[in-house]
Amino acid sequence: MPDDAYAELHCTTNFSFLQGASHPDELVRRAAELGYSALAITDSMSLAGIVRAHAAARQLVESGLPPAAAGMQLIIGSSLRIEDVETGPLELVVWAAGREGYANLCRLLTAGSSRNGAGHGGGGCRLTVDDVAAHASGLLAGVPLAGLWASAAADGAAVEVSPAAAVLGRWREVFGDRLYTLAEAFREGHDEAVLAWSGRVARAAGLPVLAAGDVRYHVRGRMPLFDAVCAVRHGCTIEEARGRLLANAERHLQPLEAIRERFAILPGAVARTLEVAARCSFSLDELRYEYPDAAVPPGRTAGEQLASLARAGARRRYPEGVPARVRSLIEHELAVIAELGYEAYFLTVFDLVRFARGRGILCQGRGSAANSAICYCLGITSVDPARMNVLFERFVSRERREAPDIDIDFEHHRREEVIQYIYETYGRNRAGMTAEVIRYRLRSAVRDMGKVMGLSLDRLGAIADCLDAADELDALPGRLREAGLDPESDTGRRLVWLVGELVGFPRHLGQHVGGMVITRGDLRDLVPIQPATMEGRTIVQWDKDDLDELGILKVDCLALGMLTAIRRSFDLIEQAGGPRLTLAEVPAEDPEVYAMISRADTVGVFQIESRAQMSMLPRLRPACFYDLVIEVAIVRPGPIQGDMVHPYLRRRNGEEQVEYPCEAIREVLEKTLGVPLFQEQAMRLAVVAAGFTPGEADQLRRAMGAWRRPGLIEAFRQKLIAGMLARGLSQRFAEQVFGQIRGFGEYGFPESHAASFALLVYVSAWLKRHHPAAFTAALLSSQPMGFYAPAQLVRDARAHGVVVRPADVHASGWHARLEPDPQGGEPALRLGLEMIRGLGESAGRRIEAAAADGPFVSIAGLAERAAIERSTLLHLARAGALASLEPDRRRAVWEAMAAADRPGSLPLFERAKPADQPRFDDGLLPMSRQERVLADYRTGGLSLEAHPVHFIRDTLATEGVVPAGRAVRLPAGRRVRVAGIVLTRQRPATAKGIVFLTIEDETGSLNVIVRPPVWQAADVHARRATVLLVVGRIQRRGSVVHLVAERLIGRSPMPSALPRQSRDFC
Amino acid sequence: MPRVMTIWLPRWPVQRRLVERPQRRRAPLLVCRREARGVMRVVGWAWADARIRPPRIPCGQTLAETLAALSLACGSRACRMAEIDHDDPASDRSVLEGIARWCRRFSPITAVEDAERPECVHVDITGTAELFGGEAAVVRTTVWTLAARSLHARAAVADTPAAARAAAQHLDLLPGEPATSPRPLTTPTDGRSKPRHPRRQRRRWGIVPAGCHAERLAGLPVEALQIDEQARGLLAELGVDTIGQLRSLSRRDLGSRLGSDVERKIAAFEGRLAEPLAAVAEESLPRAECHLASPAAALEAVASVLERLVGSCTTVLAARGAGVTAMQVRLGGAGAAAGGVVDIGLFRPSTSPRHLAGLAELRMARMRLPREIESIAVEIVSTGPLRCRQRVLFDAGEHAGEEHRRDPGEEEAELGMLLDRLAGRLGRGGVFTPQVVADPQPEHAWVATPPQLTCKGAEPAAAGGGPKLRPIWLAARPLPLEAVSVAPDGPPVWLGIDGVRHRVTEAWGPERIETAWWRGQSVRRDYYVVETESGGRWWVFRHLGQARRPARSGSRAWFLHGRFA
Repeated sequence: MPDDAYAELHCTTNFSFLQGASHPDELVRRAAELGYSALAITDSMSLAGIVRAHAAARQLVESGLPPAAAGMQLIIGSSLRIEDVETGPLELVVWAAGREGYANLCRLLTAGSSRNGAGHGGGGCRLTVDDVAAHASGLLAGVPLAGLWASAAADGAAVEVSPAAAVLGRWREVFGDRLYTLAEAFREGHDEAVLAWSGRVARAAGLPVLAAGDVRYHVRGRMPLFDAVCAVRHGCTIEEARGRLLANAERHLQPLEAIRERFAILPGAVARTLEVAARCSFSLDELRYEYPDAAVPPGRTAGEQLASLARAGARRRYPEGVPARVRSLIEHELAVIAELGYEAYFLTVFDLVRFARGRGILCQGRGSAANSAICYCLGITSVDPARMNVLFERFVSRERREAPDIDIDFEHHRREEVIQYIYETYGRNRAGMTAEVIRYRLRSAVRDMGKVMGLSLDRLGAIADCLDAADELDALPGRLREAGLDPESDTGRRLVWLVGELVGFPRHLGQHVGGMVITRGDLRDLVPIQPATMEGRTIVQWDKDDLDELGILKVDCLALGMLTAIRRSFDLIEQAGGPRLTLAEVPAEDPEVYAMISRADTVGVFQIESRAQMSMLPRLRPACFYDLVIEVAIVRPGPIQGDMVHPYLRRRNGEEQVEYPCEAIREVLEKTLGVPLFQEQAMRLAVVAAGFTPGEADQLRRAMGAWRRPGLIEAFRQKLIAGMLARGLSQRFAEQVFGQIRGFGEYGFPESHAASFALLVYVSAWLKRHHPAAFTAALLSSQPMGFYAPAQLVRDARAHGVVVRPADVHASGWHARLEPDPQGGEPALRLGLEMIRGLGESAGRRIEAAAADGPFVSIAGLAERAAIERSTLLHLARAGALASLEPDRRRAVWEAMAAADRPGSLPLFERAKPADQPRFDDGLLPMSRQERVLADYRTGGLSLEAHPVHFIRDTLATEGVVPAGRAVRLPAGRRVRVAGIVLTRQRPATAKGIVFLTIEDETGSLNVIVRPPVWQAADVHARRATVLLVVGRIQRRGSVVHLVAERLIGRSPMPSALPRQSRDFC
Repeated sequence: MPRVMTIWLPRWPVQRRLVERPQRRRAPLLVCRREARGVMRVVGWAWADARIRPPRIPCGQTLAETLAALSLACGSRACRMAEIDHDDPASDRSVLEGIARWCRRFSPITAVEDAERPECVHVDITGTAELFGGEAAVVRTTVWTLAARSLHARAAVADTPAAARAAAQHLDLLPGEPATSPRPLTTPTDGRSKPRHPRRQRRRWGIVPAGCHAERLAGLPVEALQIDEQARGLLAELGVDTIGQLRSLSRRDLGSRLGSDVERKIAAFEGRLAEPLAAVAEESLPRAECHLASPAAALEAVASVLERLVGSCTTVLAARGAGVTAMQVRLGGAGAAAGGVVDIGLFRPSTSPRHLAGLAELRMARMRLPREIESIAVEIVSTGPLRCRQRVLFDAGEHAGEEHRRDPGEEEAELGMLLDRLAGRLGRGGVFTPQVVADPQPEHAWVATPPQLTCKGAEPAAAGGGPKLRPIWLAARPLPLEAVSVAPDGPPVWLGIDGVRHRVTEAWGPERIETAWWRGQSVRRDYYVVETESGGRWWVFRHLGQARRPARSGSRAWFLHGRFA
């Protein structure tokens, strides 16, 4: 080993949020380039970044570095901030020597954060010396002496050695011969003094001294970014934080020569770092993950249990006898599962589904591994494998030992019960939620960097408004200009640079939407666990990519709003005197439902309510359940990018002949008219047409998804095309298949997935057709979900003849209700108090309960009985929910203002006052109709009285603006002007920058297509406008009408009155 | 019924500066406030260039952002020529007080409005307007006279200060013709009509006849009453936009709903709550004047008279427990133009005639005085409460062993007098307290603050690394230096200071400082403490250039920045 070899043992990545300014992979790569022998990742109280570092270290070999550099060792550790009553905060760097040390480190960090409640990114982690002592075995430790020197020097006792030696003595009791001291110097004027002192202290304590660098970023040029994130951490501008910034940029990875020079006065300090590296043999590759076996009864193996459950399930599914094909499928899948050892995984998923069914929680499995005969037999999915061509290897692949993937959707309001069941069954030490690393995106980076550069919140808000979610960094200068800042000014240039560097940095650890990690052994030996912000949940420090990298399985328990809405609809129908329905009991294949779907009358229906789906429905005209399966799968980025939609439509309408090159291909593609629409069809094509093994087909798909490595894709392309040519297929067909597979790479839908969704499509469409009031009420109570805001749902319901009544404290509950029609007609829909913005659920529930005891006599009486405070009362008054007590809204607000800030704080005599006082002559003007409508929109986002555009119709008419309801009847090519509230803005990734808008006026809504030049030409005001005037031409395709915009003009007819309504997806 | 004239001077901090230095109109003027932690915020700005459309700059925006916005709206040249001035509320107020004093020609009771940043002067013209030809004449004279001094003022007369202020700020909303019109103001109020071209038709004064301000001003927006933001929002929600609507709301319940402040403001507007004018107190401050029997030429001759005059003033003040904090001495000479004025400000109230007269003499010694002084007038401009000190009775008994200890109060008094004398000699700007601020760049690591009698502790030093070694003398800006170093990265071995070559015998360092990238060009330096053969200890640095473009090595790279004692 060369004598200048060096291992950096103290290095902080940007996973110590706001304390480091380089990604783990940047640090690993740079350290290897500089020729370091080892690099320790020691994030502050966290192991969140180590998997990235581990992956980067593994990739060094492929990266073309010389073998010596590529073999750089990665050491796992953490730097700890320890609170001690005697000496104040202490700093300690620890490294895992082996598996035991690693487990101890995880347990230590878990103990530190679990004791102190919620906190993101280890921020809430608190440790004491005793904690460290309890978990010290297997850990090596280093005490950074620079901090001790600073405090000693501040006391004017720079020469004193004994206080530092006392601290070291305490640690030596804990770590024995595994303790080192770290000498660090940063060219702050007294390097030699610090290092000499460090040497003396170490000698006095009898400890070895090591060179270290307290690295915060990989190259010098990151210093400004580091300063900026420090200012973010302190919550102030850089100017304000300047006193707390580091004086220079020395905390980067230094060249070996500089290190040797700097530590020349401490002989051996550099070389000794290798001693620690040699003692730390631990690598993340050693982690072994085992699935829990809780669902296996004693005396049986997991395999036996799964086999018996699957066979029993099959008998239940096929009462007339299990088909031979299914039987053989089950045996085949069981064999694959047994080979890969995934029995426990399937049993765990089954356990969760069984629990949910037992509690009456609607749930449905989907995801890749769900596409199996076993999952159907276990009741995880409802897709009959007898009718589907299942390709099990696509999901559980022999070639790559990769985790199977099953997602389970639960009703979103009740998913928490399932999560808590997991915690109860497996214990908090064995289960945790997957973390999600929240990263800086353009908007958040501009916000934080703008703040530290001293921009005002107003200005930052303006910039954020100008930024589209799809904007890339190079759009930033233009956007700054639009927001009134010169990108060429000093501030502008610095901002653009900082934002460019910061985008992609992790900001904090959030929690993944539903991924649960469950282990057989103690999860705390594997990864630190910390409490989530949400009560009763714990999260592990790794996200799903990290878990994938290490081959750790997780179960995704997802929340699906539509399941909640369906369940609520069933409840409401039963309450209104109807039958109790279940998913299975909804009458199947109702022609009226398909007729409605074919009309694209699908607002609120699951999945097929989006504009893209709606414009497809009249063309596809679904007539049976399988058509719905296709409908769900076809309007996806995969088929659209693979150009499969139009051939399918042509063939379905009989405009094109379906031809199959060979019989094997006919078998694969027949049910979709020769066009591969599902992911497994694309994979199967590769198998039957090009001779791929199923595992290879899956690798192909993944390579497409990864798109990063062009060489790999090219290799697959050649193999695929060669295979097809060898089987006598044409070059053209081969290229086409390749393009289709490529399209599926990222966005394709497996058939089982589509089938699971299609069932929900049918059920929700049936509810909409036959019980529109109940269905709308259920949708309103399950918000936020779906494509449409409550205003459109209510509008659509009224268009279907449902009587909708406003929220009122007497008549409404928290959720929307049905009010039976005395004449026996369709029930009316009474909006719930949940519609009122700003009203809390607990207050709403109290009002509901109090109203059940009898009517309120006055507003004061309501406040008293429902124990609500003034601000809640004001929300109710503004929304008009007090109308049954005080018809005029302004008087109601006036009354509400007099209420006490807190319930029950009124003096005794005030309470004794008679309930209704004489009316005073107050001079309050009653609200005009227009003001009421605007107040409705402000407080609830919708008005039952009128549409805001109605009030400016006269002005619009003078400008030649046509109502939307008339525009849709105009002939194609006619140039019109239409104005309305913007309901949605969408820029699908597949549409080449085209923006789709939906605008609405009092006569109806209209879909607008905005091509990129028009969008770019429009100013910010128009792009973000609440009310928009569109000049454009009518386009007709069948019964689908669009307005192709030529110009967008933002309008604000009612100044500052109308909040933004739009649901923006761009 | 009282009658009050209110003079409103819009955007006063900016206006004051433009009046004081009219040449500033050519460039954008930004008045900034430095906050405790070093951030500059704009409190007001102006640029009287008619060709550009200036961006909207809200009060309190940071300077960095303002400049970036200005650069976009008006070009980067505007940014470069922009003049940045420090906020000075005390001067703003004192000049406004000057206007209030000037207004005493109309009435003995004049006052600056009671606000944190006043922009208005109230003049109680009850019964005095007739002496000047009526209220209209008073208002007109006031506005035109101020206009002649380049001050843009609006003025209105009403029954209460609050009403007059509201009227002055919303002259365009007042019903009827301009107040100069002989026609009585009888047009009914509609309140909402806004003139189409406000600039051309803008009225500069108005009169609300006695007893009618309630109905005349009913159409004014509620914000004219200086109601706070939150209450204004609630009123807007109730559909209450104007003062008239607000007053018609039930009075009894207003306080509990909108806060007692609104109630008070309405009462003051209506005159139910007396709003005493905090009159500029000068009238009651003593003044003394003396005409010399024979004109004196020498300062010495004036001195004794001056001390006697000051003494007669301080005796009056001492009886009230007050001391002088500002004083004006006017020397009258032969001829109309001759004369001199000396303004003296003190750090600490004083009643010592010797001290005060001495300060005046210090200043006079540096002035060109009239050849023959005929009269001396002393006017006390402002006063402050005297701090009473208790004498220590049994000092010797308890601390017999110790040296005689000075009473801290006495020490402070003496320090105050020393500061006064220094400021008298050097000017007020010449005396300051240096205060350490935490900034990595040495020349920015301190600021000059107005002298304080008590010393505050320094801010904590920069993070990490312990205390820094800093020289007692620091050059305001680093001085280029001839130096030779042997190692490319090492300390110098020779220094050339003032043309003399010094051999370096010892050097400590380097201390590397890389900072300031966020406020201009980044600073990258390696500092060394060096000791030369001659025994001098210097603080020098090598300029490292930009991170991407290192500076050339050689003599240009070295600078002298400080010297150790």
